[in-house]
Amino acid sequence: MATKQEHAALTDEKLVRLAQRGDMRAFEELVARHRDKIYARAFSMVRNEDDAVDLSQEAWVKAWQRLKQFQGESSFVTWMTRIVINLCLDHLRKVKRHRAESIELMEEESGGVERQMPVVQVNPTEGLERGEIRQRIDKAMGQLSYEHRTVLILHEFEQLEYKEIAKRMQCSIGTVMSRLFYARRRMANLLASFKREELS
Amino acid sequence: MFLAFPVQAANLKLDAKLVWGSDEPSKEHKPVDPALAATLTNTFKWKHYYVITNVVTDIPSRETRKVKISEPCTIEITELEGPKIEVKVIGKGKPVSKTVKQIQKGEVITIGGDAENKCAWFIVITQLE
Amino acid sequence: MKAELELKLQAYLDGELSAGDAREVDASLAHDPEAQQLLAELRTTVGVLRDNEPLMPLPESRDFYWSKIERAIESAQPERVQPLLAFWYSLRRILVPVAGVALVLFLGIASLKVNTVSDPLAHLAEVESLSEHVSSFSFRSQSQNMFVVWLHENADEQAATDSDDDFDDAVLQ
Repeated sequence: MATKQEHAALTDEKLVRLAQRGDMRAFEELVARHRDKIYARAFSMVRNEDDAVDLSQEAWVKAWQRLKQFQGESSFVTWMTRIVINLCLDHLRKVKRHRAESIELMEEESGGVERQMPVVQVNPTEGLERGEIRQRIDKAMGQLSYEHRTVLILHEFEQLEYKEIAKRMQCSIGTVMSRLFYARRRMANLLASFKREELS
Repeated sequence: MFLAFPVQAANLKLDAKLVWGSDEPSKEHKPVDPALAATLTNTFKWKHYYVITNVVTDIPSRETRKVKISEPCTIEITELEGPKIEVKVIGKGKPVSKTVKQIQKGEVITIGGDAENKCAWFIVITQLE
Repeated sequence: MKAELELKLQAYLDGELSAGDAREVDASLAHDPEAQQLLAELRTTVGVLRDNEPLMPLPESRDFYWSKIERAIESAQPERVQPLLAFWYSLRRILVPVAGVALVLFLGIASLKVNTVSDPLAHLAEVESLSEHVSSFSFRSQSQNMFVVWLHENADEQAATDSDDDFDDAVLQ
């Protein structure tokens, strides 16, 4: 049986093939390699560490169970990311049923709020170090409703098309477009406000 | 005259700590030493680790010592051939778990679980020289 | 600016317009400074986001994280257990359960290093749950030279129990 070091030297494709034949150590190497990314995707969506750990682990278990269905049509990590996104969406839908509609979403659905936001003319992250930019984006994401955050994540970070996002979020393409527009405008204004706070 | 002195096996000297893990800092509790903090931080998710109790105990060969690590919790450590140790966790008078493990110098044996408020408890056992 | 035009601008940026609609937007942009500014803001925001996705490292060690996954995988497929576990399940059927004692045998076998003189059996361990309310799993962190036994209340017990006999209170108070 291959050692940990030998597995570490294999490509994802080879590890997947071994894991599909039941090699748990090969799967463990895939987990070690991509766990941060899968966890990060879960956290970005649910914004709760414990839930993100649980959901990411559930995604890995599901991946093991469905591994034989993976035919290499995308990269392994892309396939894994889709699994964790779906689990997060299911989780968020369950949570949403138990809480009131967010004010943000109500504003968006009543229409027009984003048009009252001034256009941000200067890049609000200009001159900042990458780490600082990431922190500010993370802070801004935390201030969006889950619907707006999700549509932003699926479009900007997962590069999904409107149609695919609509299917996953179980809404119309029109709703995706409105939410995405609002989320982007709100993000620009939040980043600009952080910059103003820093300068004042 | 020939005097025979009984040969005694060296006692096993162990350090047992009850450690509390939390994401919130606490000024009221003493943090664990940096080496243990690094070991725990690199394994578990909590950010801060505090010593609640620290007991050093000598366990003669093939004998058992009871160590009270908190009001409701005692651990019974038995030195077995190997040398191995058997660690029984007893909570509120009821046995909870038993672990039998060969003890290695430098190795840390940790028995832990989740606690209230998203914290955790750890019983950390190491062999002393 | 009308909402419809704004969404069209966005779709234009995202490459979601048909060729004809895209040409229309192109043409109207030339005479509409407000639309140009809005498009610039959207383009900047998209660029900033795509280049700077926040990083979020997993707050658990490799071993701890993997051990929970491994356990979940194994408990979800009892009919495909490894030979050692299969032996163990059959032995469990023979043992008479006394007061809910569940015996879990864990074998941790350290990877053999060429230059080591350490006993490969050194990492063998036996872990037993002595309470019907508590389950356990264990693993060894090679990097930290630590053997861990993790105890947790069974899920059904967590829902039902709210008494002084709470397991966690039995250790920390």
